Amino acid sequence: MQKQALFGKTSDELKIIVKQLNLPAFTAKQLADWFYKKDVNRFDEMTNLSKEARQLLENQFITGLSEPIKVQISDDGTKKYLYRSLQGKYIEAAYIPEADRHTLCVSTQVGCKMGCLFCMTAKQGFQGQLTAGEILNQIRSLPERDLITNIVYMGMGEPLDNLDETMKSLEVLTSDYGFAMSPKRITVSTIGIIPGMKTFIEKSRCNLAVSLHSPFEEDRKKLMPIQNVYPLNEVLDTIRSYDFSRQRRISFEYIMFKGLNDTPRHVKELVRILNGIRCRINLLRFHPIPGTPLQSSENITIEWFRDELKSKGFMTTIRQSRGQDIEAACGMLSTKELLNKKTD
Amino acid sequence: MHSAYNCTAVDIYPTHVISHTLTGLHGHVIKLPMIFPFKPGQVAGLTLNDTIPVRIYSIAGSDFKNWIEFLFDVKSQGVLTPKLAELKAGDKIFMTKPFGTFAADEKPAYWIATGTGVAPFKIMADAGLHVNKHLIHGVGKSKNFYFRKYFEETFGENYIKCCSREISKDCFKGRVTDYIGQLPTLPAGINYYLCGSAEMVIDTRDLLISKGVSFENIIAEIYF
Ligand SMILES: Cc1cc2nc3c(=O)[nH]c(=O)nc-3n(C[C@H](O)[C@H](O)[C@H](O)COP(=O)(O)OP(=O)(O)OC[C@H]3O[C@@H](n4cnc5c(N)ncnc54)[C@H](O)[C@@H]3O)c2cc1C
Ligand code: SF4
Repeated sequence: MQKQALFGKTSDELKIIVKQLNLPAFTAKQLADWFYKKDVNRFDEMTNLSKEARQLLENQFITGLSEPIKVQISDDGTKKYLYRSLQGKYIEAAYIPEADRHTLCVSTQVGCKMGCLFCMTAKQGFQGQLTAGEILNQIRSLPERDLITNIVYMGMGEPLDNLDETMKSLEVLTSDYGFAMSPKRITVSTIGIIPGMKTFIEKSRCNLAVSLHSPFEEDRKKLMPIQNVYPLNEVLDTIRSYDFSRQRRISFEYIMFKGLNDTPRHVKELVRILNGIRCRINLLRFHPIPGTPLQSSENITIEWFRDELKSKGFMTTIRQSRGQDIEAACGMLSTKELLNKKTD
Repeated sequence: MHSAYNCTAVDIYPTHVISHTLTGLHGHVIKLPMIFPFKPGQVAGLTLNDTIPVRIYSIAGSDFKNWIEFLFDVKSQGVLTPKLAELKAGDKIFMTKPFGTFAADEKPAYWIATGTGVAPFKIMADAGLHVNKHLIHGVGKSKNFYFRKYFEETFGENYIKCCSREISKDCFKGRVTDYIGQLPTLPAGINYYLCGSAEMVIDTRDLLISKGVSFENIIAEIYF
C-alpha cells in the first residue's frame, strides 16, 4: 500500500498523526513549520526533530512534495506547469506574472465531472480527486513560489466537487500555522454547486467567483449541465443570503461566445439578475478547443459589452488572454500528456 | 473518517422506507412516502443521518399521490450506497426537498441514458411524456436494463437497448455511442436529452454534434 503523504495536512490532522506515533505533541507544530514556513523537502532535513522521530516518519510516510515534470513558457511570460499526482495522473498549474501581481491558477481534480461544453478538461472525464497536499504542492513546489501574490482555484476540476480537500487546502494556506496568506488574495471559482458554496462561504474568508456564462437559464443549460441540478436563480439567491462585505469579493466569470451570450438582450438580463449583488464581472475571450461548435465574440463586441455593463454600474473587466501560444485553454497540456501516455 | 468540511449544508427531512426491491444484477429500488410535491425529472438528496453527506438521486417513479421511488446501484467503495443497500421496509431515511430542472416536454425527442441514468426518463414516462420519444438505454449486462418490461410496453419499438458486454436477444451489441454512430441520420430540430455519467454525456454530446445535431438541442444531466 502507498504510504500516506504528510504535506498538506491540517494542524488538527498532524496532531492526530503525531499522537498515534507516540511522538511529543509539539512535533505537529514542528512539522507544520517545516512544511509550510521553510523550504525543506525531506524528513531527514527536519533537524529539530529527534533522529528517531525522523526515522519513524520516513518509515511510515512520504512528504508528498514533488517538482513539476514539465513547463511550457509563453512569449508573454505565462508558464504552464505539469505536475504528476500521487496516483501518477497529470495536473496543470498556470503561473501568470503581471506588472502588479503574480497569480497562480491551481487544479483541484484530475479531469472533471461537470461536462461544460466549452471546456477541455471536461473532455478528459473524471480521473480522481486531488488531496489538499496535491493542491498545495502546486504552490509549494512552484519555482516562482516566492513571487506569488494571488492564488485562483480555476484550474482543472470543480473545487466544490472536492469540497473537503479544497477547504483543507484553504485552511493551510490562510492559517497562522500554515502559509499565513491573506484570504483576500485567494479566489475559488465554482460553476455553482450550492451546498458546497454554502460551506465555503460559511467556513472560509476567501473570495468566490461564479461561472455564469449566460443569464438565461435555458441557454445556460446547453453550455453547463449543472444548470439542471442547481439553477442560476437559486445560486444567486444563495449568494444574496450572505453578506459579502468589503472584506470579501464575489465575482462572476463570463466567457463571451459569438452570437450566443453577447447581445443587448444579454446585457439587459444580466443587469436584471445581478441587481443588488455587489460584484465584479470578468469577461473572458473563448479559447476554442478541438471540435467545439462555439466561437469567441469579436474584440469589439467584448469591449462594447463591458462598456454597457459599466454604464449600468457593474465593475466589469476584460480578462487579458494569456499564454495563447502555449496550450492556453485549461486542460490542454494535461490532455496531451494523457494521450502521450496512452500511446506509449 | 467523517471530516470537518464534508458538506451537510442542506436541509434534510426524516421519512421512512416503504419497500426495498432488487432489480437486475446491481439495481435497488427504494420506495418512500411522497412527502413533497415534485416535477418529473427532478432529483432529491438522500442520506441516513446528518453526518453522512447527502447524495443526489433522480426520482424514478411515483403514483403522484402517495409514494415516490429511487433507483440506485451500489458503488462498492462508496460512502452511502452500500448503506442504502441494507435498508428494509420501515427503516428511517432522510431526504431533501426535490430540486432541479431536468424536464422534458411533450415535443418529439430522443432520451438517451446509461445505467441508472434511465431513472428520470422512467418518471417522465410515468407522467405520460413518453409519447413521440425514443428511449436509448445502454448497459453492460443485459440484466441491468432496469424497468425493461415497463419500457417495452410503454415505448414499443422506440425502446432501444444497447448492451456492451453481452450479446443478447433484441439488443444492439455495443454502447449507446456505437448505436448512434451507425445511424445514417438523426432527426434535426428535436431535442436530445442525455442522462448518466460524465463520460457518457460528453462522448454522446460530441458524437451528436459531429453528426450535425446543434448543441442547442442537447440537454444533459450528469450523475457527478
Ligand atoms: C443530479 C444527480 C442525479 C443522480 N441520480 C442518481 C440515480 O438516480 N441513481 C444512482 O444510482 N446514482 C445517482 N447519482 C449518483 C449519486 O449521487 C452518488 O454519487 C452515487 O450513488 C455514489 O454514492 P456513494 O456515496 O455510494 O459513493 P461515493 O462515496 O460518492 O463514491 C464512490 C466511489 O466512486 C468514486 N466516484 C464517485 N463519483 C465518481 C464518478 N462520477 N466517476 C468516477 N468515480 C467516481 C469515488 O471516488 C469512490 O471511489 C446522481 C448524481 C447526481 C449529481
Ligand atoms: S469549466 Fe470547470 S467545472 Fe466546467 S468542466 Fe471545465 S473544469 Fe469542470
